[in-house]
Amino acid sequence: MTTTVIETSVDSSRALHSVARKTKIVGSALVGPALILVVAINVLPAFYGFYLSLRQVFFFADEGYVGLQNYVELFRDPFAWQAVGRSLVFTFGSLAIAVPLALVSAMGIRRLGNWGSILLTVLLVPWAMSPIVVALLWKWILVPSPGGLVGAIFAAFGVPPQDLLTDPLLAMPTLILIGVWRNFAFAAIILTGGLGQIPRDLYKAAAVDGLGAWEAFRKITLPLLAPSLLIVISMLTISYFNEVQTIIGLTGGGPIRQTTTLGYLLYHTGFVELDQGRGNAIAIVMFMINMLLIALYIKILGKQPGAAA
Amino acid sequence: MKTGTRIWLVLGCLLAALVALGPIVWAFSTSLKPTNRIFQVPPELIPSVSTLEHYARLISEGVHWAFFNSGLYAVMAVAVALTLGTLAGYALARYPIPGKQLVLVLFVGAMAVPGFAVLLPTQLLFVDMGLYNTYVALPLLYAGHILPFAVWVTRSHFSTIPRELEQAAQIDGYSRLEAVWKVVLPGAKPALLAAATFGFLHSWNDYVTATTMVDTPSLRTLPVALIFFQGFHGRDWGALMAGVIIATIPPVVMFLLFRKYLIGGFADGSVKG
Amino acid sequence: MSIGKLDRRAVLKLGAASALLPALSGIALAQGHSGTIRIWTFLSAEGQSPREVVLRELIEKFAAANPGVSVVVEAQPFQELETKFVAASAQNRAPDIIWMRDTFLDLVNQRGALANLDDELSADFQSNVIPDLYPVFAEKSVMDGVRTSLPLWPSPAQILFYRKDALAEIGLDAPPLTWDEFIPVAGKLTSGDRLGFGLPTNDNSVSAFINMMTGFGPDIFDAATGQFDVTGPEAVETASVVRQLVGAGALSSTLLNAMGDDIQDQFAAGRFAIVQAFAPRFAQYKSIAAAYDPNDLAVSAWPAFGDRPPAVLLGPYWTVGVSAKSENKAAATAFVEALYTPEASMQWAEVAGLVPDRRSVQSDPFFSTPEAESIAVFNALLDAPGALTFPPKLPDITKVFPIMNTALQELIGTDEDVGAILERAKATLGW
Repeated sequence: MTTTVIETSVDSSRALHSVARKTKIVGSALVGPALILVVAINVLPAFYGFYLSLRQVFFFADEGYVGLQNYVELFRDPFAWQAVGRSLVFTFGSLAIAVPLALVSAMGIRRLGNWGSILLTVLLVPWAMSPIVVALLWKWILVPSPGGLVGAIFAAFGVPPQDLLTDPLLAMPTLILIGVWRNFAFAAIILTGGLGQIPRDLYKAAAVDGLGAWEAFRKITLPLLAPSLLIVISMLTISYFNEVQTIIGLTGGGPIRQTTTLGYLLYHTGFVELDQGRGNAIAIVMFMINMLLIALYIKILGKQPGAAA
Repeated sequence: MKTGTRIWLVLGCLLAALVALGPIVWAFSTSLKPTNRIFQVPPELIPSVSTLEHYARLISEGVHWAFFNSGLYAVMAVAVALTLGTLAGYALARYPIPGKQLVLVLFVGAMAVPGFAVLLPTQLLFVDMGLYNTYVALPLLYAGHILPFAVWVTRSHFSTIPRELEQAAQIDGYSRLEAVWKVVLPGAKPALLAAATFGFLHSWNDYVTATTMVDTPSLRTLPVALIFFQGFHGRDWGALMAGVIIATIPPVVMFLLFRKYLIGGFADGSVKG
Repeated sequence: MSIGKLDRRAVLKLGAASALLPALSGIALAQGHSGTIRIWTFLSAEGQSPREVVLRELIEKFAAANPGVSVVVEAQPFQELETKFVAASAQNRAPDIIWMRDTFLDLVNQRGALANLDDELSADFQSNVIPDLYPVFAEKSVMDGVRTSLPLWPSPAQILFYRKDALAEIGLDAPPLTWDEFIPVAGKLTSGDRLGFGLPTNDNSVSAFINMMTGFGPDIFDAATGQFDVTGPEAVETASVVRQLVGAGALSSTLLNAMGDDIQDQFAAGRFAIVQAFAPRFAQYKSIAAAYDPNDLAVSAWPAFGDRPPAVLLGPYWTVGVSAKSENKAAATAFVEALYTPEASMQWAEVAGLVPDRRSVQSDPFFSTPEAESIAVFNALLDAPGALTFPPKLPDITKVFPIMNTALQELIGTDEDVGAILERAKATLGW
């Protein structure tokens, strides 16, 4: 490319300035409406929620400014910490199952070509369902009677119907499995795309070099899939951390608080106990955790080759 | 591929499909059984006696209006979000925007807000603006939820398309708008369809926002309407499962239609940044 | 579809925005009212359950007598009625009539959401109808001298339903009425897939623990504060009874997470012999009975401790109020009054199996028929010596039930020391 020096007169430099200004105006006009809508619907209410979290608000009655008291009480509340722990268990328990499952599915799907994409569509159906619909569906499947699906399966093995959702030890694992059922296909899509980015030649070269399947996996697939894996892990983490509707529908935070995650605690405090100041405090805490997760996500994305700034 | 591996693969796939679809097939089966046979032991997959009474009950209680409402809100929300989102995404990719970094942070930050945390402030805002419990309340809200994703996806896509393409079209005599419309936008189809599908799903499946922002039964959405089949009159499993089925059909249809784009679009938007 | 919607929406906007309406209803017709009244209740306008059928008939009757009025029922999930109402009231979009639970009356009234019915009810109603209602309920709706609502469907509220066929298996007509006797009987009723006793443990609107504790009589509630002693001897004894029920096999940890609706569902499928249930749902329970003959469904008071009379805790129950911000209070109040006519009370009784609000109606021959047997039992319970109510201003009402429910779950599902469980509940409540 050759560079040409253009001599500008004062007039044309003014013209350039006005073009630049017009471009900025056009640009802003194009972004403006979207920005306004997003700010109005997502950001403004968040600020109002923060404002409310600094006050004592009960059942829609604002009882005055209390500073950080809601946060301090939260910090001191063992149940709040227990909820954080539950959130961690739910999130990472789900990740531990969903990610390997998605990876195996992605590899299988790639091998199957056209049938693979059909299978992927089938696996995505749970993800298409509303969380409340998922809760209703699984409540029915898990109904503790020999007439229910799971009950019947148990009966076939001679086991009396168990109520998985009311067992303090089994409730959380059950919720995790249902969460995985709902979500993992989405992760599989992304991993399928990621697998597609790995050049086949690498595998051929590996075969020539005498590497076995497992070694090829470890040395080629995993490292090159790392970006996609990280994306999947980030997205799933955010999704699982914020999952509340299925918990409300299936266990109501029980039994004995075993499935009361931070998100459920927010619902219970703000919508059942109607302690709206404190509920908003929990919301702000969740918001900050979410921001952290998203910032991490963006950072990971930014490091990818080919990412435009 | 070795036969042995292939067999395991096929078995694995069948198992996966069974686990994914089994519950829904079971729900469908339940929705066709008369109420007194729903709890029958041993349960039968294919009902020997079938009935449409549960679907009829849904209609008699006006659930089809909720179905239409959900569809209408979803379509409106997606239309608004895609339009504004494409404009914004394009602008962010092509134009110098004052405070671009801040704008980007705002869009991304908006995705971090847990939905039901801002329900009360949002409700107050909408009431003050006279939008509460109206036809446009939910589409507007959903559009606001979908926009960040739409902007992100379109911006990523437009950044990968060289400016020269539009400029070449402009040299050929097209205005900037036409250049974008004819040359750049078609290539964005996967990204747009991915955003549209995501947006439709979000709007169609939402419960908490819909139940808080709308009180009038005639404006209700489907998930909210379904809640009424469990309550003081016990749980009508047949009707609930019929509701599950009709709530699942539109999203699944969308998937079948836009399968190609969805898979491509998501992989595109996320892997390439 | 659009026409129907526009009609309703347009009409709503009319109600909300029109300043002419009050003037119009003042000018208008001497006998009829006009305008629209919106009702928020958990009943639906198209429902088929007995109570919904009666409501629909009452609305039709009222509409026929007042052709200028349009009555619109907007069903809401029943746990959300009070919160939605207060939010709506604060934002000036409240419905005209609200169905709510009496335990929330004080809180809702403090927020200025309820109209003073003494100002709205007709003179005839006040002098003839109110004295005809059950005093225990009617007086509870008077908060600080203001009549905030009218009680609906007098009933023993959370009471025990049982299956006569199950009890007959062990040679009994009815469950014993002292805990010492009840515990082994309930244990014996557990056989096969069926559990002896079912309690909701995760329902935010009821506390089985408190119901059991009322077996010690009304003194468990402090006269001044309305609180009960969460760690006192009565509570400890109640907790011990729960543990004994678990030990006898009557209560199972599958109850953890159960809401009232779950218990109802499972009882219909034959999973329990005796359950805690909301009395007005009796007709509904009968209609969904699947695993047993509906005629075997019967009602019992709670057992009591020692030689005290069986406990009947009258609450929470439903009341009907008019919004303070209603723009059509006249029509709304007229409709509320229409719910309490002798004819209406007969309908509630005959179709929905409810105790009639008007006591004077009880002389009707219907109440001596076998169909009215459950109503006779409810009546007896209402007049029972062990009948008591919640304190009108029970503090922390939004927290008491969930916290006591968690304690109940811990009692049923763990071996933890009873005292520790109760201490924790008390600390969480902040009492």
